[in-house]
Amino acid sequence: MLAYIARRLLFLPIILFGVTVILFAMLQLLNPYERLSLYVKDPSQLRGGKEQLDRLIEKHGLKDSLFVQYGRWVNKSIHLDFGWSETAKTTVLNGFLGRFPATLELTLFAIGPILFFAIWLGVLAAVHHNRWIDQLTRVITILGYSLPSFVLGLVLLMGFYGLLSRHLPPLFGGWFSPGRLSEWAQQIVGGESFHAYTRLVTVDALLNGQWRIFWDALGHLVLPVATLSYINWAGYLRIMRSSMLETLRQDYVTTARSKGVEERLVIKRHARRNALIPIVTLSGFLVVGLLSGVVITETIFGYPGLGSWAAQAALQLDVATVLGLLTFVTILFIVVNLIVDLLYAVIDPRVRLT
Amino acid sequence: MSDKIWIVVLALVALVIGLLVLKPAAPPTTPEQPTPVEKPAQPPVEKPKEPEPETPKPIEQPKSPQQPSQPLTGPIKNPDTLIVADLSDIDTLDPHFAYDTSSGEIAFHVYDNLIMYDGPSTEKFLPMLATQVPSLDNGLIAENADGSVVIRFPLRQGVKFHNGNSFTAEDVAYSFHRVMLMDRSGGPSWLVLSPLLNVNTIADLAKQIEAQRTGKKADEIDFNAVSAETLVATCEQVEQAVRVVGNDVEFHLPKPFPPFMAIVAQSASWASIIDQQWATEQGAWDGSCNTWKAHYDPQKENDPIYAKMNGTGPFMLEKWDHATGDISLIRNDNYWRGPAKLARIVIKKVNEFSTRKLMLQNGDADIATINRKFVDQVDGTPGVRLIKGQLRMSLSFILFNQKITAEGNQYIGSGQLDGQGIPPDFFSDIDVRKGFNDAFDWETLIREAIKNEAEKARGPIPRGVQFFNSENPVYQLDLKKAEEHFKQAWGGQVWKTGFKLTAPYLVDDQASKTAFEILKRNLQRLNPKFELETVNLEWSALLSRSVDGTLPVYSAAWLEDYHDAHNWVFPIMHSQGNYATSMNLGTNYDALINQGINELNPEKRQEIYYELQKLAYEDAIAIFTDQPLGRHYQQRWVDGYYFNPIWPARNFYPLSKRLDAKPNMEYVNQLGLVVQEW
Repeated sequence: MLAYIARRLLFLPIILFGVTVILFAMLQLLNPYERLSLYVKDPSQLRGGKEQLDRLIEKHGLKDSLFVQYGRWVNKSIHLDFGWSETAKTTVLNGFLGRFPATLELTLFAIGPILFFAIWLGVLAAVHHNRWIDQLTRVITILGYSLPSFVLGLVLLMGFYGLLSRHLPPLFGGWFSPGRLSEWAQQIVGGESFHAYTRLVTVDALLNGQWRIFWDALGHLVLPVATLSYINWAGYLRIMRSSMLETLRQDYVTTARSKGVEERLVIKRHARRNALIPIVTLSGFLVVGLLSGVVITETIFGYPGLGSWAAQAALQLDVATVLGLLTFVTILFIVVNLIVDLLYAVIDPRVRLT
Repeated sequence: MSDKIWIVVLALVALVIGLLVLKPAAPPTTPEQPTPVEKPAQPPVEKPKEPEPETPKPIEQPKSPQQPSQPLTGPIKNPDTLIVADLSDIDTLDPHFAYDTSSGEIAFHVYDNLIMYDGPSTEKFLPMLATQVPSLDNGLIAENADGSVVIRFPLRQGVKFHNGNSFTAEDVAYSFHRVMLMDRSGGPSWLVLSPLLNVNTIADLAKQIEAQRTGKKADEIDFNAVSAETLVATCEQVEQAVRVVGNDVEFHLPKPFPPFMAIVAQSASWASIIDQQWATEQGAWDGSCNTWKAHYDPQKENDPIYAKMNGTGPFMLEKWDHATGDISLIRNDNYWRGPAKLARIVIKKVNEFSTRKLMLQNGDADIATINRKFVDQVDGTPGVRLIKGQLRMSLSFILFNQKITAEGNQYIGSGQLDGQGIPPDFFSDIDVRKGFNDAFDWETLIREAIKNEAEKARGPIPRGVQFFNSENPVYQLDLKKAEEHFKQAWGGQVWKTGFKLTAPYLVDDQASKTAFEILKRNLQRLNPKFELETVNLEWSALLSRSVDGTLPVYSAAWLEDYHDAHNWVFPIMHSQGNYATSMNLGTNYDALINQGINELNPEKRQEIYYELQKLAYEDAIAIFTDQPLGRHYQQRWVDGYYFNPIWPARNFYPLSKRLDAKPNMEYVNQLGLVVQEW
């Protein structure tokens, strides 16, 4: 087992080298003036004329060769200096550490509903194949597939924060306001008496005994979590249903039934566990996807996570940030896949890791 | 069968829920209709005397019945805190590094200048950290026999920085020395270097000194290789330009520079006074001539006060959250002009328009930035006040490149006057430029793309700037005249063979797109052989093309650095100005522009700038399209708002939140604005 893990982790630097070199090579397609757009953000900043632009190009080393630029980045990255993020206005590492907890919190709250509803309704639909409950989940699934997250997000935001907050007394300190915390709560969280143990606001609020902040943070999570959950579990529900249907047709399920095992136990112990394998595989991708940031959901709800930052960085050609996030996602992808592979062995005893 | 019934029932339920959620807010009832608080006064100063079709359009009149607004009923959300939902992207908190309006807005509230503009006035100065505004009359401005000028600022005593340190004359000198010696690339230092030392960069000054010492040519000298003695001598020249004399500070200008007071009064960035002791403690330049080079042109991350502030202004920095982009300021209770009414200012970065709109609607934002394309969705929001018609010190224009780079240029077709392209010097023919001007339709542009919230520009100097000529001739749509000019252009060849060119514009720049579409349509109407294609470019590509000289025409805008006609004619018409350089305008106007900046007599200056405006028209150097009018959306409970177009952004110092807040009618009437509230 350990050898297997070590072997998998050995691939990490090779993959990292590959993806970063590809990115650097792609950047060479842009000339230094195009890349300068990161530092000169709009026409109103063209004040110093070409002379100033040339100074900036020289200052930021944009005319250096691919090898020099890549070498400089690798050298710094080894020392955990991923450079300066123009989009975050701080170092890439600080930018990451500032935003990752928000993304992690969102992921932790979203992953449960996504997988729980997908598995529960998928099993339910398969067991009641072609009956009304199956048809209902089909409708819900199609809606989930069809609704772009920006539409669902905006509808939820307008419905709850826009309409209900004007007509109903506040719930959770408001009707699911955008952002991560309300203004009053931010002041407390930013104060000296509040200890940020984990930087997950809900957890820290509980650890500090601040229930009002906990409810406020929870209220701010409801709509983004609902959006992410609904958009994602539609797909997982379909996969779970198909997998369950296939499993229910297996001989060992028939055998269990013929042996007189109670139907509830047949489903729970014999069918559902085996049907979970594809979900486990895909949940790895789900975790990577959520932890890498969810651009649209974060943007609509003003949620300060990695997704909106990554999108902004890519649009503005903020190479340092893109490379830093790429490194993170690559590591995450490899580690999560490794964990998924290890989980196979736990779920399915036939799988042997060698 | 029963399953299908269930499906139908559930689908209907889902539909009803969906419709309920999506149901738009009830239309405002009569009392909530937009209600003009006051009829706009006559358009302000310098209104053209003869109303011609091209004269500034009167500000749109609200059409709703005049009824009093519903009185506000409480409670006010966050009564001591002003929350601004903005698109701001603050670049730095170091005022001497900053050169953007978002950073300037913060510096404006944390730091003070020596002098400031008097409320919304764009002409009158008031003392700030100085006790008097220098003038020839009060003897604080003196002209020497050699033509140099000394400007003396007596300083206020007893003022404290936020950390408790006393404000001194040394802090003023240090601040100006620092901004000059720091000279970060792409930064604002040239604005101070130019009038005080007659150079655009500190490196240029060092090279000049090194050249004098070594006998080499200045442009052959590598700044990074100049001697230590030269570096010290450079710094000493900077120190000589701004000197402490007792409790006063003197600025020594080698020659007259009329806009100098405007540069010192510009309420952000380069003229901000910082605390020398504090800055040195943070690791910034210590004021020594032996160490300045180590602090020259720093990377942002190496600037010790990049994210720290300590000024004498009405607000202190509380927190700059890099994760959210939000910034919060708290009141300076010891402010020498008296503490602000609001305890806290929070500027939230909210990129999504819908979210900003909902925050404004729900009272979670007191002020919100609303882009012009979205205003229809915000107008009518209950509890909101709109102030519109604010003249901005900005000008949009379409420039003609008179010497286009032909190599690898995809925008000029064949590069020949053969109907399939244009030659690189196509726009050097005045009849081509006049033809383009005569074929342009300002009215359509301002109506369709700018929603009537702009005035037609009359030349390179906008209204509101001294020496703007409200009677300067302007072009107007006249296809007959255009035809005449095109028939004369290039000896008649243009009309005979036609031309083809591509006009690139910045993606999402709706106004530029519409302007080029108007030209395209009218040119086609004139002659089917006239082809103008449009293409949108990402900013990175447009930046690159503007540098390599391949743009045949360039839709641009200028936002002034300081409030003077020179800051308009120089970038647009001087051979070394940003736009004139990239459009290869030549040196025709340089002498006159140089004469204007060295002339102290206002009457003579007026003659010069009137002449330059006339020449810009006669030579048709560009299509001067429009000068925008701004909008301000706020909660009705925000009291005390007014705006000065010279400020980098809003001024939070006079604001408060109260249920009986009223618009500042003196300001509204003075500037001819329109107020609507719902």
